[in-house]
Amino acid sequence: MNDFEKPFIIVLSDKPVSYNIYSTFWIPCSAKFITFGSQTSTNGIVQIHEVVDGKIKLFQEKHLEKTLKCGTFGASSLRNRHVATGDFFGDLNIWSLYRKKALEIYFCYYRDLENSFTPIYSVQGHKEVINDISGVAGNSVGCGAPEIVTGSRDGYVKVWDPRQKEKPVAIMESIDNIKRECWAVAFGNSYNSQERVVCAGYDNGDIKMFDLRTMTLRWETTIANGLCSLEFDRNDIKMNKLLATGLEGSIYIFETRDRNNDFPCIEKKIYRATIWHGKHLPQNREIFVTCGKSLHLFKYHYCDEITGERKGSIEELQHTDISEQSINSFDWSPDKIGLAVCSSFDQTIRLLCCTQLHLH
Amino acid sequence: MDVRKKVKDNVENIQSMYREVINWEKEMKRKENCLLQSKVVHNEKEVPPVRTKLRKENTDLSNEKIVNAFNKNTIDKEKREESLFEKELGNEFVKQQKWLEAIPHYTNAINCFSKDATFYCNRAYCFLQTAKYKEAETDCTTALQIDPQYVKAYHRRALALKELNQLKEAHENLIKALELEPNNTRIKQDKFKLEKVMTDRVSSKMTLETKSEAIKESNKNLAYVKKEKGNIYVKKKEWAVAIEYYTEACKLYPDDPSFYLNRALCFLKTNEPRKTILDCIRVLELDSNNIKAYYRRALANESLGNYSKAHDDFLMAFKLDPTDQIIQENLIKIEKNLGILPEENVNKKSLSNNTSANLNTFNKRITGEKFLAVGGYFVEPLKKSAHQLSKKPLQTIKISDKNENTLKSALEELNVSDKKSGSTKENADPNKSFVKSVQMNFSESSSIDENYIEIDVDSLLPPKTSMQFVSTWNKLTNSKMRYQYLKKIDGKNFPSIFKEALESYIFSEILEILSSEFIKAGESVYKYLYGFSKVKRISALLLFATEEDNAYIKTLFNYMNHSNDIPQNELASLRSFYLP
Repeated sequence: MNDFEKPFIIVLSDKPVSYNIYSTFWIPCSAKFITFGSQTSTNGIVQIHEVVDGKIKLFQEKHLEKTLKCGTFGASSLRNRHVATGDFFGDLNIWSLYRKKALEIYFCYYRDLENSFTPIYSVQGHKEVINDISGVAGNSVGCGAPEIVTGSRDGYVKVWDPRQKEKPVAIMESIDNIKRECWAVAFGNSYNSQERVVCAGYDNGDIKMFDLRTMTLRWETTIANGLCSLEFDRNDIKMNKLLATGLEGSIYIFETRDRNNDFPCIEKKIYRATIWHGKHLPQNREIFVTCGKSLHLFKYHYCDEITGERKGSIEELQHTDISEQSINSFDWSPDKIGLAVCSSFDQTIRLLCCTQLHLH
Repeated sequence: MDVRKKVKDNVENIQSMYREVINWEKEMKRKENCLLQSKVVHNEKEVPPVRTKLRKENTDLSNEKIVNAFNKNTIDKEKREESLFEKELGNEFVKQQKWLEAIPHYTNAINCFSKDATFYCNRAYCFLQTAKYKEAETDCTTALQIDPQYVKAYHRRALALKELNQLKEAHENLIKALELEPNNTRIKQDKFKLEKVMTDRVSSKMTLETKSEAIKESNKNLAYVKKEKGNIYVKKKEWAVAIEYYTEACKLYPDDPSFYLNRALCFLKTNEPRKTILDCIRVLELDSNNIKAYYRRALANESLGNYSKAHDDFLMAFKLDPTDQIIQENLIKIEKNLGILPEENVNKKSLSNNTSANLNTFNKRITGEKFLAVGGYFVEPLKKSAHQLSKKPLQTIKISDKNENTLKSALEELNVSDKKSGSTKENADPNKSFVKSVQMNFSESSSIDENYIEIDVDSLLPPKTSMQFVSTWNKLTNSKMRYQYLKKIDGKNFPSIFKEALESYIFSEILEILSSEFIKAGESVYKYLYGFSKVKRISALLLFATEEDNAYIKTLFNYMNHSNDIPQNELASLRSFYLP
């Protein structure tokens, strides 16, 4: 592959904001994306931006009492588009973005005097900050009930069903008093109405896979450093591969195809800095991006069964430095291949575009 | 060009992407509006009930917690301890030689902790003992995957492979094991056994299949190895051991007298004269001129008191090698013992006084009559068995040319001498014809410069590849030879000969020959030019043709214009090809 056939990562538009961004992700079936952030430790801010003529334009903004850390549309249908969020105080909330026909955000907290509106689902899920949230089965049919998993600093991983108020449907906790901070959670293997696994990554580098059907610990391993993100390439198929990124710049791909719970691992060290996120392209599960100091685009190649290789391999397609400081959040647009949004520590939101991805 | 195009393509790609994004925006906005304006229809898809409810229904377990330990090391430790415990149990059974009971314990150990090579290796041992060689082999292989330096695993794999009849692999494994642990006597023993089995297998196979020379050869080699070993022990004066080795050598290769001879020496030293005599007789059967055999038999006979027999043998040995002083001394001694001086030995007794003088006369007595009057002499064929022959390669004698006259005179002399020596006419005739043939050769070689080439070119075959052509072409140095060579080739075959490998200098040389020799001889050149026009790279060659080449081509076309046997239209097309 010569340089011209490589995909290019281009910044279409960037927009500096006046707060620390924790998370940014697309609203499905729209040209909008949400950012969570905080101006001070207590004052949370939520913004919805819209892409207008290829530029980022602020659509709506809301100030909150509590700062939201993470959010997902994973457990919500396209029609409802309810966003589930976790905040710094351990609360899980599900919000409706739109009320009736008006395109208005209904984010508020407890009693917003102006709106007197409360989230459609709210629960004090954890004692401490919810570091990661993940949803499953929002849009896909026949792969079980929509569920949300949260991982928190208090060491618990909890699975929630929006239909069941107040109580989680599953709790994963430590056997003794050693509490490890959970930094990343992911759903996977949800290919029918029964099967489902939750993967959790902890600050000591442990990765644990819990089987929700049998309620057992299915598999565990330890990598050298703390886990920052975990993601299955798809969560509504039989689990295929699990991407894990963490501190010290290594990425790990576990080939989780049915191998009797013995999953070979591909490790690649990119640089000595934290990789905050790894995200698979929704339109092509073999391509994924990792973001930290710089953006790296990889393509995964399956192992060749004929030659008897046990592991596949990954090929770096492209890497670019687009910001001075690390990128902490990244999301591919579910509706447009190659379009993505990312936020970095230098308080900037960037709209990215990746060309020629359809060639790979 | 290419790069510029690609850059342009890329820019276009990016622009189109941008346009696509803007279109997508509009599309998205439209879709979103549709989504929002569409009435909420409650066609709830079938969703399984809440997990906790489901579980309560099914199992009545209200506890939905998965308890897991974070301290991974503790788990590992426990597992490790358990596995070691199982291993110990297994080892106990092994000590009691209850192999079948040990195996499951090792299996448990492996299940608890799969990364310890010893579990696999021990299980492999049990499998070996219970004759499950295949399993043993796989276990050893896994053990080696975990620990590639594990000597025991190599050893056990070798044993398993041996039983599986993969002797070669087994041998390799043993060698590997020995490399890692060179002082392990058990492995050495096993290796020795295996090698023995291998050689036995090889030899038995061979004899069964074909009694070919190959086995003999291998046996012979082995026999010589044994002999060497025997020789070493002889030097150490360990006669009994040496005898064993020689006996083995004799068995392996009974046709070599040296084994018997050496054994005879050992028997002599161990005071077994009868055996010595038997061996010597065997030697003499194989090689009747063996001095040592005579000498040793004589000594044996002497020690047995058979002085007359000993005397005969000494005499024989003396005849064969009159220079050996020890034999002479012995001979004199035995003659004294016998007290008889047989007639033949009269002169030999005096001989012992001044050896050198008498030796010459003795030599003469044997060979003198065979000397030839010509000045040359016959070389007597030696009756030596193969092992006694010189191992030096034959020297090549340089033959230098001589003048015709000297040779003739020499030959005449030879004829004369033949006549003188009174050889029969039948003998002389072939000699004469030989002379003639030599003379003929001479007359030919005198005219070497002129005729050599013609003969050569005539004998050449038309080439099939460009390699063949170029090599012969370069050998032919004058234009006449090249002309003749070229004439042998059909010009229409040029494309198949040269394919893509026509060199420009070859092309211009051929053109030169065509325009000079062919025109001179009035031969047709059309075929060649036509052939060249079909060669693949010819257009490139023509593009870079020198002026000389063009001149040649022009002269060739002028020449062809004059000849009538070429159709005009074809010639014109060819001309337009060469001279556009």
